[in-house]
Amino acid sequence: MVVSDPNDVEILPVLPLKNTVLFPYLLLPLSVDKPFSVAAVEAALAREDKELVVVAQRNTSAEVVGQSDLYAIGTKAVVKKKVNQEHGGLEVILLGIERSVIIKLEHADSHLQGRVKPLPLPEQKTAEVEALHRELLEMAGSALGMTEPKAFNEISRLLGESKDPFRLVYVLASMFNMELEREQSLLEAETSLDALRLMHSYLSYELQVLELRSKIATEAQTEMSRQQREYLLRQQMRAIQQELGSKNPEEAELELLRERVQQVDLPDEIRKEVEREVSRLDRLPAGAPDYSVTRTYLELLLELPWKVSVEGVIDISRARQVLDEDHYDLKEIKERILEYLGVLKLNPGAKSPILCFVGAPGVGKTSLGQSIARAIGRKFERLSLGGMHDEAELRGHRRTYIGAMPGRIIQAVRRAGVNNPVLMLDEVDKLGHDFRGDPAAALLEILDPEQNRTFRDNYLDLPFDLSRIFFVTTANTLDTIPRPLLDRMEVLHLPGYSDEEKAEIARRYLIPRQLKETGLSESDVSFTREALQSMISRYTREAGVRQLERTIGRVARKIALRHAEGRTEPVEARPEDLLEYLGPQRFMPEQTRQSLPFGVATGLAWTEAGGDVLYIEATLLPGSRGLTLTGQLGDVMQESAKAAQSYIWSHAESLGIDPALFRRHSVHLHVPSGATPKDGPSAGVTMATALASLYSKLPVRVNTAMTGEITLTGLVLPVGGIKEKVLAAHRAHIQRVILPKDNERDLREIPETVSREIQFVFAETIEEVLVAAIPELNGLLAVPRAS
Amino acid sequence: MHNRPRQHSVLFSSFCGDHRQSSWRPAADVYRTRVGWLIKLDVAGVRLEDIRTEIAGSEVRIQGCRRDFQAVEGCRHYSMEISYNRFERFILLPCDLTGAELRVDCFNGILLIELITEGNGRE
Repeated sequence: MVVSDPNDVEILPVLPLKNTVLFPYLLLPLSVDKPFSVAAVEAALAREDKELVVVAQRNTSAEVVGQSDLYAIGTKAVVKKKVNQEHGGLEVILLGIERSVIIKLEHADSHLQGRVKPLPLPEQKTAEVEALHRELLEMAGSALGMTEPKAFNEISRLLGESKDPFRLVYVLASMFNMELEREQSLLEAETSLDALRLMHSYLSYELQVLELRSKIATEAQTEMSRQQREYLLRQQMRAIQQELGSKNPEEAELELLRERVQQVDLPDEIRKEVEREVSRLDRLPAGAPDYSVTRTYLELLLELPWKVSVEGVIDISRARQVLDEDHYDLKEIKERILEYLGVLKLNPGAKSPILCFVGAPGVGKTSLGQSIARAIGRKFERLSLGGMHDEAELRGHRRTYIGAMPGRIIQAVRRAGVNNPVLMLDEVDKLGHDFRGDPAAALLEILDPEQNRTFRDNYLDLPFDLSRIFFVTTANTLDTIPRPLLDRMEVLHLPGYSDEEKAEIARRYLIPRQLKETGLSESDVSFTREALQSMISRYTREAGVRQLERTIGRVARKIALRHAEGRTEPVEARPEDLLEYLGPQRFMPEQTRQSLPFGVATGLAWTEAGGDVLYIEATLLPGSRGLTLTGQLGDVMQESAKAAQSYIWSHAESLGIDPALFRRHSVHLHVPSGATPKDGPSAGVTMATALASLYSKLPVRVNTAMTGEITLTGLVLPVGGIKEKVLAAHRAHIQRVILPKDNERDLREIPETVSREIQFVFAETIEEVLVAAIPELNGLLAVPRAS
Repeated sequence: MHNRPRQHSVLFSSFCGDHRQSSWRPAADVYRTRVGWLIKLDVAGVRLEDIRTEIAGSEVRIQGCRRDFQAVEGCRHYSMEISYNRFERFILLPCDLTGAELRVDCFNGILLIELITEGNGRE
């Protein structure tokens, strides 16, 4: 074995290396460009042993001038191969042979040379060296598993073969790209123990870095691979679809949309917008969140009946027939509808009216709306506004919101499929409002014929013409409807039905319907006139007919049960059978008081369930002056009572009343039934009459009822609800009714059968009322026109 | 990190074994002869006095050094492929060579090593 003598000092060419260290035993392919480096290689080649010394440069950017620019310890190397390159540089392969130290650096002609002494590597065989050696092998194995998984087996086998610790360290150092300083310090290690320890610390650091890197890479890759997988699957699906000759779903969908755009008849402005949206959709990727939003929007645009309308020939006589078929009576309303149809026949472009049906529950408001649609051959849509408190529900949300939808009006039009349906807005009096806005305000625009021609839904964001819609609204009361809204509507009152009307409605509509529901035929059951009357007056109390229908239904079910049990003989329901079917009577007929003490007068009241007879009672109390009012009276009624008292007081003398009574006594006025809240001015004349009777100690005539508002000067003003009040009086067998003179015209509404049995007294002043109600006052009061 | 050549890229292909300080391995042919073994070693250009041969057990160890010489005065390398400097070659034979007779000769640049084991060594 040729081993250099440590004391041998040779003069060898010096090749400085940038950024790297050549270790003994290792090959280094190198490009040599710099003239002095080329010269150093040439000098080595000129030597018969081809040797030179390779040393790392301390400062990689600076030129090598003196010994301090190079590390002292380098590697003696043999040039194994040399190839000239085109541009004048060299490609050489160097093989490191021996660690060497440069004792002195000299400048030769064109290159550096140095006095070099070899640094032998002493062999050490201690347990620690062995342990470190094995540990390093293991670490290198796991590091290689991460960096070079393909060559892993071969490299680790070769590493395992090496028994020389230095060799292992040098090979590992060259495999893991380490910093120059670290490589140099490995080269400078004097003993194998030092070298192994250094390498161990470097490698464990490298291993940590590698582990971290692989973790990051794995995380990134998991994400990437999921996306790639999806992408790949999509591409495959596309390819399959193309192979099968079908387009991909988005394209097919777009094509379908385009076809529909061509087919649908749209106004120019809308078509422009639709085409703009379609081209926008075309550019959007199918996965984009905007894609489905735009598509849904387009579908709405295409489905809305921009130009579709029902244009039937209007047949007035048929319409009249339909209205009469569906509803009994309601003359005034039917007339109004027919009037409109007449106008529409002469002028098809006429604005649709906006009707508002007001009436008690169950009087047929909603079904009347359906009837109108049937009568004029239009589609019918209905939406309930009850409890709605968000303006956006009517007008829609802007499309920028997630889950935005068009408002209920536009949705109803879309459902109807035509732009001139009958649209019923139910319960317009029960609109709510809160911080989200006031739907009543939105209704102002919708129901204004001047504005709704260009109604803009927030979602649609395009003007839609609502002016051809026949709006019908319903309400139980006008009080809660905002004035501006009420102003836009044509109010039609649906009064309560009289008992006779109810009986007729029952016979025509309710009984057949209930029999059909229970599966009975008309030959199975019949209701006698008296039984029906009894059901109307003793088992129900309402303005409408819902309760009556339910009551009929109960009877029908009882009979159906009997039929199901096999007793199929026809049944005639008589009043005495009702106890069996319906239980005891719910309501007693209003008892007409046979005699009235002074201070009591008969009034007539209007309730949502129709009219009612009520007795106003007044009594004198000794003691302080004043007026006590009881019976759940509202403000208006209380004020009305005060006005009545003041009138009587101011006219005490002419009424023959001792004025001292007013000073010495207070009055308590009570209106039964005490639990029902009452309000309104129409009890004014009744209270005045009761007070006059009280102070004058003259009783009011039995069987005389009255209604009307009074003023402080004694005028009698007209009031509402005359029909219901008169019907109530009739039910209570009252024969005389005192009404304000101005209400005379309302008598037209009262059925003949009723008005024939009642004597009406029309009064303009309270004197006339008093004379009519308290006969004894006749002599006292000089009334010019007593009826 | 650094854009520098990876040393191990050519490391394992040309250089193997646990030998120190040798730069190349000459190619060898091994023959079985009637009297023993003949080893041919491709060491062209190596002076005979630079070659050292020894037997250790069943191994023949040949070490030496090829020194370049200037064939023409003043010439320079244009390219270089021949390996110079120290070489070594250990050849393991399937018998104990202790006591074998060793003859070294050189013919046309091929080193001939004759090992005569007949009568001395055992196979």
